[in-house]
Amino acid sequence: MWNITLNLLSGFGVTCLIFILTLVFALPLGLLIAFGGMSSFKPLSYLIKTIVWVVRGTPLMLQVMVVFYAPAFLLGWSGLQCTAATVVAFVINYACYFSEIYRGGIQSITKGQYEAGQVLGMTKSQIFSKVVLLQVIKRIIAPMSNEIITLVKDTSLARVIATEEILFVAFNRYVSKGIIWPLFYSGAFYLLFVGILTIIFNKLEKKLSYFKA
Amino acid sequence: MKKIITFIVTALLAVLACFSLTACGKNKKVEDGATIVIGVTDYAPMDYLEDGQWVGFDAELSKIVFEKLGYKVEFKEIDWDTKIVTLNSGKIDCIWNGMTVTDELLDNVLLSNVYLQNQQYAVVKVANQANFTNLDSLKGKKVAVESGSAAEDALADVDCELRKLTNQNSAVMEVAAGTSDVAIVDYTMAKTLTSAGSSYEGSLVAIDLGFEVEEFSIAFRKSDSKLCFNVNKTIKSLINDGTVKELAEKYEIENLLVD
Repeated sequence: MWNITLNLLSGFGVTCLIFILTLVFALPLGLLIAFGGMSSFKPLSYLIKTIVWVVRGTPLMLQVMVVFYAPAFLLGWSGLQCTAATVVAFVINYACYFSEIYRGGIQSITKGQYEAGQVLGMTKSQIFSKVVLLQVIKRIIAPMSNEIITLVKDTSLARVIATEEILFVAFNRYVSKGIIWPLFYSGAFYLLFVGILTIIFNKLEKKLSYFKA
Repeated sequence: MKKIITFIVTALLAVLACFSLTACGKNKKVEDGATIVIGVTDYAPMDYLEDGQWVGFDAELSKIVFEKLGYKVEFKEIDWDTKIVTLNSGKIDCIWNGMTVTDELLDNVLLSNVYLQNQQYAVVKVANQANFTNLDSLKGKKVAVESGSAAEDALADVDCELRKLTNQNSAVMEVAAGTSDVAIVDYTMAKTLTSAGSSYEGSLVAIDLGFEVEEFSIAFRKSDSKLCFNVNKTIKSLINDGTVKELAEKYEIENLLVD
């Protein structure tokens, strides 16, 4: 039992690693993509919209396989290690989803606030960083937490390229030998993790609700 | 509207162009003295982890063979569903993991000579044991198999309701859950899953229904014919000097030795 817990924990370490790296890279990348998509330079915004369409329009599992195998087949280059390939695919995928949440948040700020900023003599970037951004963060926290919680469980898709995350460990070390219960036990790890995240997001939401009377 | 259609057509063509280029990795060749990456799964008694090391009949035999040929050996755990893609992409150099020869493999990879025999076994609930005696007893039953496996091929002419699952474990789990009547899996798998230490010990049992004898083989890329030839030669010498028999006895699969 203890041994199995330790083995599952090592798999859960990989799960957490994928989760954290994806967030670290996808959160800023998503903002860049959101700006690109809203750019008034049409070719750029069309390009970004096409990329977002492709990434959101194909299964994440397929994208993981493409990132892992495509360099090897197309260029004969042995490519990324499985965990690295997983992170790359996850960052691209989640950045696209995040970008749409950012865009929704940014566009929900009324035009009047931009105009007020201009009247006060603020530059475009000042308006964004001092007026718009804080309100955007407040507004997108609920959809973001939704997406981030989904990310915790999506990490299990990395199994298709034999990344040793927790579900892979449960399946390939135990279920393959006829020991089934670790599979359900691994669910507890996800549950605990998501529980902690939920508490953090609730706290964050409360802290950021300062505009409400 | 026209623009959108043009755009979609162009996008599709681009994707097609990508796929038509997918031939490069397949031609990769293993160089002399290089490290051979062996694709395995955790599958006792063929390849399995013990204290972080890969052991088992196949793990030991492959180490002996490749070291004799002057290669270094590295084991890499793979996803069994995508083993052919993984091999042809060059991520691994061979699959040596108690793999039964199937038509799908013959078409896509280079297979070594047979080094062990295999047979499909039925796994059923102990309570239903008496209902399964030969191949005819599968008629009209819900039969679980691994999709694309040798078991699926073996059942082609049997009139039964096939449940095609992603792997052999799932097939056996179906029987334990009662969603299928019987699972047809490799002998080694059937034995492992019904023996001591398994959750199914005492509730499921492995039976020989008289399936035809099959063959275990090692897969290489089609471009690695020289490597395959040398491996065949080395295994033959190891069969002749008794090393293979010794290993089989060590892992209690001497009934699978080729006559």
